Amino acid sequence: MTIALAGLVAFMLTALVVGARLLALWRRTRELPELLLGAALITVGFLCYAVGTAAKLLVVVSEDARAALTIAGLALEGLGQLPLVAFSWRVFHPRSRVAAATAVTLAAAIVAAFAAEVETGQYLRYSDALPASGPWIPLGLAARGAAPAWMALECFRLHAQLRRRLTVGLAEPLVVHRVALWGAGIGASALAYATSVGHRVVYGTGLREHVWAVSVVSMLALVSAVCLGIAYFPPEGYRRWAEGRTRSG
Amino acid sequence: MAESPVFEWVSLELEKRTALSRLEARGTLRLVLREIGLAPASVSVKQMQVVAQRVLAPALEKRRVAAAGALCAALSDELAALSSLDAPSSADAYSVFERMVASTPDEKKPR
Repeated sequence: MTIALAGLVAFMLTALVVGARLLALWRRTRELPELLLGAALITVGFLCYAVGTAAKLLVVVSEDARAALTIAGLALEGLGQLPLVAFSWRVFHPRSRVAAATAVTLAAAIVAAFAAEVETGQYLRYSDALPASGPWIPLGLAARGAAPAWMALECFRLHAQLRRRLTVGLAEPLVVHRVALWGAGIGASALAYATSVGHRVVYGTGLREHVWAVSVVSMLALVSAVCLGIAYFPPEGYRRWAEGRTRSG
Repeated sequence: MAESPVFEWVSLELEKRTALSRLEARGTLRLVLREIGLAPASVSVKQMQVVAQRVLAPALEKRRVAAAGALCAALSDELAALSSLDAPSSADAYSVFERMVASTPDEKKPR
């Protein structure tokens, strides 16, 4: 189990570092996209996991503290997905009414699912071993998972466009690769949510009841960490490879 | 969705300077932009210059436009003076991902 959690720890640290660097970038540029993405990474990728893990592992003596930490972690997770939704809208389709409506609908679904999870008391199933009942936990996970899924799809769509721009010199190979890496990194996060939803539907319990499930999500977290890390801190060897590959392709 | 001012300008010029109808001019330009991954709604003046220099002429020749190369060269030259056609915030998703990277030591050196 400890080894299986390594991917989650790598993801948390990568999200913290890349998120902090994006916020530092925002302080220089004052542009909305880096603020949104930086806030999302730090909130969902680091704070939410940290608080959620504390609720699951550290608090064994007080039910009240566990409940409070679970709500806090869940609220952070939901709040952190909202800037991701806003990013997909403002960056990829700033003038589209359909995208605006999608963003509002997703945000409303995240808030509604959170309210229902708290109202029904189901939120406690995130930090104990009991199976969930009712639809709210799978629906809440699906609503929150839709945020990274949307961004990943948009990244892959943009990547396909940029590959065509490359042919006439209207894009840099590294930027084109970076878009694909963000798509893969955020997409892995969306797949982790999909795994959680599937696990809840089949077993009712959280992932940690099965080592294989934790391992799958941890592997996805590791993929996400590696992709986001390379996207923001591209090593020299990777830069050379990406540029050479484009020239030869 | 509204098209970008530079798309409107180039398609209008194509309509005026060739025998293409409005529909043909706009459709041709749309297809050319799509081929290279650009959107009519967000294409910038600089991008359109590259389009005029490198990909528009063959598309016009296919539609039997006479002297397509000279026409595209002229459009490209005129576009150079039309940066005002860019919307105030014409930054697209590409430019967002372009800046989302840690600076390399080379990039940090003063030029």
